[in-house]
Amino acid sequence: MSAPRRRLAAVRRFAGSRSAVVGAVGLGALVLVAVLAPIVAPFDPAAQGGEPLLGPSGAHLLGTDQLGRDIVSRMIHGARGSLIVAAGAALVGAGVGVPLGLVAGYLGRWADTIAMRVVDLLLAVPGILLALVIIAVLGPGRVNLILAIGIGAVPEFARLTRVATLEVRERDFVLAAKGMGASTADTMARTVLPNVLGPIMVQFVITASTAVVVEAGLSFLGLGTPPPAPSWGGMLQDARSYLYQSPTYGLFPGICLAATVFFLERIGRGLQLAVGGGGSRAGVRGVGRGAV
Amino acid sequence: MYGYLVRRLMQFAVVLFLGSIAVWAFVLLLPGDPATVLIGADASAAELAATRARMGLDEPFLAQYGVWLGHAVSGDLGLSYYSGEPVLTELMARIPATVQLAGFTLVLTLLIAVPVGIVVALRPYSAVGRLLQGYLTIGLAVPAFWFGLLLIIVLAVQLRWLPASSDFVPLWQDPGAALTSTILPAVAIAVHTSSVTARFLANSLGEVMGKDYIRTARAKGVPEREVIRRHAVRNAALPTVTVVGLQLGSFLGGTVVIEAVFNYPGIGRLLYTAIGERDYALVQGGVLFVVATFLLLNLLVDVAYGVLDPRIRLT
Amino acid sequence: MVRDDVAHSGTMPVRPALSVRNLVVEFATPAGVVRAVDGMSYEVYCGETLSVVGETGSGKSVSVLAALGLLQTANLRRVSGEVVLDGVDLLTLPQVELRRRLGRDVAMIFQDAISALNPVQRVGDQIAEGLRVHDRALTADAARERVVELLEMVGVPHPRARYDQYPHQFSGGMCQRVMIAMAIANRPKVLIADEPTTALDVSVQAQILDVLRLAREETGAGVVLITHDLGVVAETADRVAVTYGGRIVETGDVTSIFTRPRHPYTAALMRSLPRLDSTAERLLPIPGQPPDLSEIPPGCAFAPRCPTSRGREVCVQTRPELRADDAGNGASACHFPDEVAAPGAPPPSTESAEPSSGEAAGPSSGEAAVPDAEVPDAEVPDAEVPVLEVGDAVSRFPVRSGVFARASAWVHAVDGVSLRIPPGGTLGLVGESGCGKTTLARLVLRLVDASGGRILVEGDDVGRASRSGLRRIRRRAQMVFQDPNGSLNPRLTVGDNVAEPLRLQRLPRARRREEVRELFSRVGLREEHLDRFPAEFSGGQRQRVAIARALASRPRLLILDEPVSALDVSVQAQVLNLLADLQEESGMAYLFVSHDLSVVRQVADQVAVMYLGKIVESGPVARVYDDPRHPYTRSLLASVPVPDPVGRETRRRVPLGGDVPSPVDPPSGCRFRTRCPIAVARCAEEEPVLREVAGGHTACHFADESGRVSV
Repeated sequence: MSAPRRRLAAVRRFAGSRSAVVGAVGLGALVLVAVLAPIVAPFDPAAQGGEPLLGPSGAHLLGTDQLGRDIVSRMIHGARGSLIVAAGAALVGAGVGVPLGLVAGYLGRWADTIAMRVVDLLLAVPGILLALVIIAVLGPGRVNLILAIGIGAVPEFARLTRVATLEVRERDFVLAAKGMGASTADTMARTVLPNVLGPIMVQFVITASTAVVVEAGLSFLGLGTPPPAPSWGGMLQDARSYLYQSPTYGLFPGICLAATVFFLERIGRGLQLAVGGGGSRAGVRGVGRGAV
Repeated sequence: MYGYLVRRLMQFAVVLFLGSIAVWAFVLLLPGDPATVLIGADASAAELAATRARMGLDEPFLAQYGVWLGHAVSGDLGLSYYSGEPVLTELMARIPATVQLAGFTLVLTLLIAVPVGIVVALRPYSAVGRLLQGYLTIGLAVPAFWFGLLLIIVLAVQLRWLPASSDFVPLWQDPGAALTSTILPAVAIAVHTSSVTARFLANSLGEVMGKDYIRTARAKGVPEREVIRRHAVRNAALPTVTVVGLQLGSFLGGTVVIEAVFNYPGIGRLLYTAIGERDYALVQGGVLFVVATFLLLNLLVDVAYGVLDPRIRLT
Repeated sequence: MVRDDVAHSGTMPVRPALSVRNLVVEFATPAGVVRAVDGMSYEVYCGETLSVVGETGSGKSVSVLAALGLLQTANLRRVSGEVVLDGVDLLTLPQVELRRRLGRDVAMIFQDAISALNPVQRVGDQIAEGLRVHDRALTADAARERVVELLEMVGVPHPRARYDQYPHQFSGGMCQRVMIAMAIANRPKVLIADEPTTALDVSVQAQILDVLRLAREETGAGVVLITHDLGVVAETADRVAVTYGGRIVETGDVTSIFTRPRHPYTAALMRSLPRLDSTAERLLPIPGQPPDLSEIPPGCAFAPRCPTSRGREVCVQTRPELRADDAGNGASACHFPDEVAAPGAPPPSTESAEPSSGEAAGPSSGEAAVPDAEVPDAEVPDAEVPVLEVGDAVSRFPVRSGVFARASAWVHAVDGVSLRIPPGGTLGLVGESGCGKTTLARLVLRLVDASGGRILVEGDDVGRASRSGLRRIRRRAQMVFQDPNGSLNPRLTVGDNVAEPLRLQRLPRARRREEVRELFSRVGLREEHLDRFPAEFSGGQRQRVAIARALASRPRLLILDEPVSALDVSVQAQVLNLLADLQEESGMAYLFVSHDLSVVRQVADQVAVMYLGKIVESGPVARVYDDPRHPYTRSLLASVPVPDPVGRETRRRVPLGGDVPSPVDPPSGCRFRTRCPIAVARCAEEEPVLREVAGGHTACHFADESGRVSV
């Protein structure tokens, strides 16, 4: 009998899907580990104490890297960068893309034409290449990394929001709002936006998962998180150089990556069920962008 | 159909034009003076001025852009700062490798995605269906470059079946060697992209199976196999064509990390190196090439869509 | 074949073509198991038409889809019973065997034919496929010939050329003809038509019903016609089965169902129907809401709304079984069928039953039920400023095409329309889809920009109004839309939806709440429901919410765009009565847009008939309905199925031929001439003006000759 009932129903649907719960619990654990990294990690991630390139052992659970640093500790600290960049990039993408798509879809005409051509152009550059070029312009650093990946996510948010807005715009309740004397801005913010949020939430999670992979790819190339700080992608790059000496090194950071993507993907599916946001069709142009 | 085609063509031209501006302006945004990058920081002021004049950097922006675009259209993308070779020549040297990898990956992606997508959509709870859903889950979660690394560790390092890094061998010279040199990166990419495509096809097919015209076909007495083949798959395949086209576009320039993992000499690796060496003429030309290729592919996909869908073809 | 032979002979000499026995269909939903079909039994014989009639959710469509194995939703839990066709129970057949019979022995015609056809397959090939799957020896050429014949038979012009076209190149009516051709291709023994005319305009509906009749005669099949439209039933059925809450509550031959209903639901349904042929009096709605299938009461599902039950214990406790009456030509699932059937029995005490019925229903104004309350137009002094005055309004939309998406042509959606509504008056605006009536309604609030003409709301020019002026106008004129699903913001509670206009007027929150409570009680909704979301309400309740929202700014004019078209008949009458009461209370004027001529007759005092963007006839209700002078009005009135089977054989109905022409390129001269039965050469050259004829206005060259041709 209360207002949040509907939201509760959505939460119940989300919680009712097993895969969504797996994702939420997994991601929650990951975030916790990342936040508590200094406490949880057995060693200082920068300490070059141990023997280099050890395999898994009692002292170093997953062994050591080429400088004798503890792999477990570096992985735990690496989670921080991954998650911050993922969340930040998704925020940037949504922050720019959603208003862009809303305006393009609701106002139509030239606003739509201009916005969509810009989006087409952004889409024409593969995500990783776009990020590389942007970092070349802005220089390295975490904030720039977030911007570089976030800008690449703008077109998907814009397209998705635009398609959903086009659909909602034709519904009678939008016309009714106009007929009541609501201004364009009021209609967009209060009537249209809440009705397109469902698929945007799903896209947010999907973008975060793509961002995790792109960040790792960039770090692998040496252009992501700057080297002394631990990052999963950077660790994989090191592993690539010492394949023959320590074949197990390359295994663990990748598992972390895959697990993070897996958790996020599960959450995305659960959200999709819960909010009923289709989005599969609207996001067509975004589908091809995950390849790194 | 005619109007649709012309509109798409116009959009293509507009976006390509915007792209050329962006690519050209990119150099302006870079920290530092391109002339300094070319001749080095310790050159004298006179040398710098001369180089600037030679590069046309003293001209107004619009004129600079005009000259650059004019050259670009005629195929002259300038000279690489680093090697001094024409940018076009550098690009052409990498195109065969990139196209071969993209082609292999596309074939693999389709070979896996189509049957997997259909089975997952129609028999999600069968034993095979569950197995393939597991494949999709893994394929979506595992980043391609890490999977590539795993392939190297297992197949090259441990089992020594295949080389860890791929020297490019063109297909027309030695098909066998070409296969062994390209197969690993292609598989690494295709496991991911086939999962994306199969998931999309499955969703699309699931949606189509609920349509009224599927019910009509059943009510006519059409056997289920034919309902799926003749009515469902055809309709579900249409949007999937778009996805595959976009993926192909991303193979032609977006496989930077995979190429780094396998030391594969494609366009992506060239651009990555060029950025590292601040060889901005090469970056400019390369990105322009990637953008133009992507847009062209996109245009082709839209044309194909128009031909395949009578609702577009006949209006 | 004389249909009375089969329908009326007391002992059935032949085996039924299809018989459904004790069918049960259940779905699993988050709210628990829903029994959508609860032990339905019916049968149909060759050559007869059985009409299964009922409201939304009564299980009528689900029953046939389940019977033919065409329900494939994931949450289908159970289908049990027997469906016997040719001595074989279809429910026990493996899928392959079942498919061999579908389309050959039993064929279906679906609602919404456009989406029921495969968009990427040629129309002819879709019909041919139905032939060839049952006759693998049939060559492609022979199949093509047969398909062309079939298309010809169902009235598709140029069948040879149309064979190779795609569904999107066909109109809705043509698609339905294709569906029928597909269904009769293999001369099935049973034809099942599921709401075959629901999405169609009344003139096209009449055409399709004729084609269906032809199809039955051609094939000799037994026809099961599923519909919610009692008019369609009365026009076409031999026998009727009435469904309610997943069960069949009454069966019988069509005449006795309509003249001597023996179930209170059937009787109430008949009473709640607005009539085309009778003068306006207050409708007698069925109180309350249709049953919630997830919590069917143990007794009779209709008991809470039943005027006959009057709360009797047995109705609430014991579920009545379907029992044949003594004469043997019908059956009723009511404990007291004779009370219903007794002459003069139904005491229309429904009105007083409404407030006490628990469910939110009916107007709360006790004294409002004064019959003949409408203010006749003539009594309004001319000096008074009309609430709405439209002068020569034009609205054009560009048809964009080509390279620069330039306007290559214009759709004249509204093309020079004038009308006026005095305070407290109701103007009914009728016409088929695409005639421009909705565009005209939107012009009034400038939701669509006019391309010409003048629109005055209480004397204020809508077209020239400033931004704030327009906002003031929009407060005085409010709109209610067709689909209450779509017109309420699903992310706001119903209370917040109703408060939106007040929020926009910057009313403080506490005042808003207060006003909303009052509005809720005015439209007969319960205050406790303020914080629920629209999705938790039924269609009728949602429309009440939409009306409450429209009332919030105390408008002088309500623009009602098909306000009851999406509602079931029993609920429709509630809403129409509510609108009448509100008008009585507040003296609002209504612009009532509808395709439904019966509803308009019920509510309006003035009527305007639109065709292709122009008003072809207007005037007081009695003049337009009883003495129509325009051939379009006449055909339209003749196309409406009359909910009275008596004398249907003698009613001459010549449906309008063809479809409405494209408004992009309307015919020269009189726009109606391409479909007009009395058109002559002059009509193509000279456009008739709307002129005064016999106390109304008619735009026809032959309007003075009322008896020239009776259409």
